[in-house]
Amino acid sequence: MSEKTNGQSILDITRNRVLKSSSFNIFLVLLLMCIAMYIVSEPFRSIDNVLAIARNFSSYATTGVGVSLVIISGGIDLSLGSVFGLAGVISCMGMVNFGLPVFPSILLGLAAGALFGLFNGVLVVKAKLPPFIATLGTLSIARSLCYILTEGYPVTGVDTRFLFLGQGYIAGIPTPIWIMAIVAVIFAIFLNQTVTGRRIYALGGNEEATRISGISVNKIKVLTYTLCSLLAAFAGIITASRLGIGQPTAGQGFEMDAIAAVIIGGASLDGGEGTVTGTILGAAIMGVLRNALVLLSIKSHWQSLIIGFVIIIAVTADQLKKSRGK
Amino acid sequence: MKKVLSILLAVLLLAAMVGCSGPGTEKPGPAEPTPTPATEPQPEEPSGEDKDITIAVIPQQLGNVVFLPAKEGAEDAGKELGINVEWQAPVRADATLQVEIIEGLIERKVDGIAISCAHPDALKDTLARAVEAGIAVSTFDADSPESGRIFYCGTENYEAGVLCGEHMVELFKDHDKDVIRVAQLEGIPGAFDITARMQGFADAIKGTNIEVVYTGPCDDDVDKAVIVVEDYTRANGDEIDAWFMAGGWPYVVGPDALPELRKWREADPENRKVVTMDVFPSSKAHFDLNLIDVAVGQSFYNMGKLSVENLYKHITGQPVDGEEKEGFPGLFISTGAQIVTPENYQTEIADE
Amino acid sequence: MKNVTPNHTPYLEMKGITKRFPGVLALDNIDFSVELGKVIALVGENGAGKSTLMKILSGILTKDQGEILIEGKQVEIDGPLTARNLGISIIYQELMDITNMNIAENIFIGREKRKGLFADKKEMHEQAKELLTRVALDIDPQTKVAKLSTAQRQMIEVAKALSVDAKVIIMDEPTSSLTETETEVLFQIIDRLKKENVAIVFISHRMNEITRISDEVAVMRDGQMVGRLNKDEIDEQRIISMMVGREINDIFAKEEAEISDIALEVKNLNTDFLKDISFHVRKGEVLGFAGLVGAGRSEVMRAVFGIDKKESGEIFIHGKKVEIRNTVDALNHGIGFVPENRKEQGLVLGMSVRSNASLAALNKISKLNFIDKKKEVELADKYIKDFQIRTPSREQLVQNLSGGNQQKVVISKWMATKPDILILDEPTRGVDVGAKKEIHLLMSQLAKQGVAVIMISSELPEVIGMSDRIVVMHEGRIKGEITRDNASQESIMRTALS
Repeated sequence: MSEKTNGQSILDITRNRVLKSSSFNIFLVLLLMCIAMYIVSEPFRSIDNVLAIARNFSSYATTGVGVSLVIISGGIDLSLGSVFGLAGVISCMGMVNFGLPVFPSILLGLAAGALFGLFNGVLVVKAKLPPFIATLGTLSIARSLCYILTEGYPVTGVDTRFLFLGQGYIAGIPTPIWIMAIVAVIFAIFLNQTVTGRRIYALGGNEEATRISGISVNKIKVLTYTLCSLLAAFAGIITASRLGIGQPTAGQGFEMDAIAAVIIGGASLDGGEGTVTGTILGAAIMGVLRNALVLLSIKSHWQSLIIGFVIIIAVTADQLKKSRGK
Repeated sequence: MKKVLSILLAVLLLAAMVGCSGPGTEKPGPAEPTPTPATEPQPEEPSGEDKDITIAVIPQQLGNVVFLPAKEGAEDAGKELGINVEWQAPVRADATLQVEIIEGLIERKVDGIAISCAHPDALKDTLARAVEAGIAVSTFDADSPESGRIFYCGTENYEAGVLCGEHMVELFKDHDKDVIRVAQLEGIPGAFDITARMQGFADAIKGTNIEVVYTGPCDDDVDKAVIVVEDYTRANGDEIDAWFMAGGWPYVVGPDALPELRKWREADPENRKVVTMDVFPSSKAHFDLNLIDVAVGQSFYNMGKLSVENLYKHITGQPVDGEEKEGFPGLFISTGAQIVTPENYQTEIADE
Repeated sequence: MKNVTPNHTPYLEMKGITKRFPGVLALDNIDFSVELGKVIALVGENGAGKSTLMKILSGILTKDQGEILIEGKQVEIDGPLTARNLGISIIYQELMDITNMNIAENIFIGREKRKGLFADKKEMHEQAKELLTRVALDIDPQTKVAKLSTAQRQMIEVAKALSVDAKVIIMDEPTSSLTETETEVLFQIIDRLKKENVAIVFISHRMNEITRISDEVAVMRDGQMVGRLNKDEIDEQRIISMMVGREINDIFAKEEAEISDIALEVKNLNTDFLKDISFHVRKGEVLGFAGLVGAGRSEVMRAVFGIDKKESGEIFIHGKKVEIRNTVDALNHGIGFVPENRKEQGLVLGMSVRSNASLAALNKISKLNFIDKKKEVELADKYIKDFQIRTPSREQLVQNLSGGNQQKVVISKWMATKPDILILDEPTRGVDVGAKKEIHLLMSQLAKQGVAVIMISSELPEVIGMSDRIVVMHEGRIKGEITRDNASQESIMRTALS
């Protein structure tokens, strides 16, 4: 048996791994979409457009990476749309209402996000609430806090240096794209190379077996919810910076975009499956799709329908591939 | 421990629900005088006489910025009159949520309701029931003519759309291009008020060389509005001559957040025009950079103020200041349309 | 021996059945037949292809080649429903019933009796009652299945099969979680079914059961049918040698080890079920836990390992009192635990052999939370080699391995943590003879290395064969202790029921 494995060239193994990875299918879908758009739409080809697409989907990609952690561990987080909005509001208020400098304001928003994640985690672990219910509750709570804090008014008049996060460029590429890339790399390494990452997969695959393997599943759960909300908060702060205001309504329904990106990216809601690469590709598919609908002047009423079909087709194709694999 | 946490959670959830939708959605309880989380603590007792009168004002959506001046107007009127004004906003722009709120208000027997209807027909019957229950009902911004309400206060959305259209025609009247192409930004596809504006706009440009080539939706979301306007302008900027924003979402943010639109406009300000609905304090920065040609504002502050004042008059038996129009049930109180242009914006827009 | 094929046409025949899975030829040109009123035992090591063959017969898998005949006529079985309509029912090793429904509802699920639009509850109740009598169960059909014992649930499955007038009932290791008395009841029912002219295909690893109940034995090995024995040819040694392709003489590979200091001591442990449990195990010792199913043996281990809450009690490790509040504490104190149900508690089925093997020992092969992939691969390869885990590669998902090999992966996982104390709960349940012997050998070697081994087993010969000392439990209490010299099936049962 060992002879056989040694006989296989590294090239074969790599090829197999690439072809078999669920991300490859997603990548093909994305590639096809881009090729099709490249042919039919001239404006699609401009580098500005490509960068704008990437900047637009970077918010649900960044959040999606966080939700991936929760979904891989077998949970779900519905609250992140509200946490996204709340973090943006709190960061802007930090500058406008409390007179804090830019950086501490950002930290304040992130801390608020992380705190909500911690709360989600504790509700799931200690109160033993199903994640769906717990985060449905916090979805409402965080949104309400947005309104309570702002009275419904957008928070305006932020420090202009804050705008760099969402509107700035580094080496000709918008800052949010850099942030997304850095987040993706960090969390890809975290999931694939670290003990904790491995345990997240194990927890999603079989919670009981993971607990019996001497692993504190509670700690892992709390960690995944905290990181998820932290990243949602980060994305919310970046979006607030891009728009230059903290809107109490920001991110309504955003959780569904982020979860859709993760699911299109090949994760299973049953847990144990999913990758950061898949999530980024899933978010990219949604970004290209949204952009295509605008570029091709598709009537508004059809847009959600098309996005809905793409989700269903992507997931069905993935399921078919998996069942054939068995 | 588990039990305590469960109870704590139940309380928190309840609080969250109440916090989100206001007391109006609570199960019918004893009619109570109404200190609510939504009304600001006010310096009480100026005149003091009619503190028992409660008027509820219902916008279409809690988070929609256009309604915020209406809230101020209504609350200012309440303060002056010494009555209770409650701001009862649904979390989403959805007629059924408004219905729930009104039903709660009927149970509580408030004295007056002023509402901006998410949809005229969907709210007709519920409002009629409120009228039957002896509540003074009026509409503002978005009407429901057949509900039996006393008056409608506002600028009709259709009329506002017509104004926008007329200004657009005016802006291009000296241009000799064969076709003037306009891109249009809408909110939630099918939303009644925005559709009426677009219809007004379409009717006003009918028969001219102006043509709407694109309509993009933003789901009433500022973030999405920015993305749609920016993406379309970047891709098809050379193909269009004007933007018509059927709602002012893009102008809630600063000009920096709309670099593509700005680039497009500044490349040829003579031939590229922007007409938008709504005027916000934040619109000023855009006027400063000469990025808007015409903004048609509906005075939401006046809508809120006049609605409350006239409802109060009706409740206390005084005549309402409305006018009658032919084929229009009830009275019409015009708040007029505010036309803001680069020439007058300095005086028309208050500082933030 | 191969010419026992009867000269008349058998009721059901499978000819030249072939099934291929990615990378494996699971069934290679199999011939198999079943006669009404007979019990045919289908035996073979795990992974031999028994389950695959029966899944094809019951319509869960489709064959690649071959034909199936009923009374000489060719039939196409394209799904479980077709199989059921042809009178073929299967009762799985893992029960498939829906525990929050009652017995009658479970029996008639998917084909509820109707009166107009509504379910005819009365009719179902009556019929269920009659079926329950046929399987010797005296229970109200309204009882929730969750309240029943495993054995009773098994009987319900039989009743379900009878309710569709099954001609052929396939039982996949029906006795693996039954006590001896319960097994006896099942056998009586099988006898009765024979008289009713039903054919039974009986899959089991237990030789005494096979010899006791079968009219014929069909033996499979590595996807092939290696032979068929009729009633007078059935012999334990012969079957085993056909299964493994070699003779296995000494089933219990017990070796003498030096027994020294006390490694683990439990004093006065109480939970809501367990009463006053005290015992100890020494380094180098194999301590057996015997008792009927439900005696509380697994519960003791779960409490010791920190999975279930303790009400009171003390645990000493190497003479020092320790607190074990959760599994993390248990692991840190050098305890390993191979749980009873490997698929639900032992393995992450969707992960590879490598990831499962390293799961409990990740801390040992990592630096600053980063896994040393090279060490992980070495670890996995070492155990694949040492325990002869049959897998195409270390990257194979464990869900694709046979039961015996899965169990070896679970044991690998704990060996990788280098435990001082290893608890094994039913380590050889549902494991084939060859793997069973390897697992026994492993336990002996561990004891020799000074590990304290605790083994729960419901197979008395295994407990007696492997243990230095046997703790006997019954209904949540320890009823007594038996030394190796005094151990016999009788002495254990006497102690348990005294």
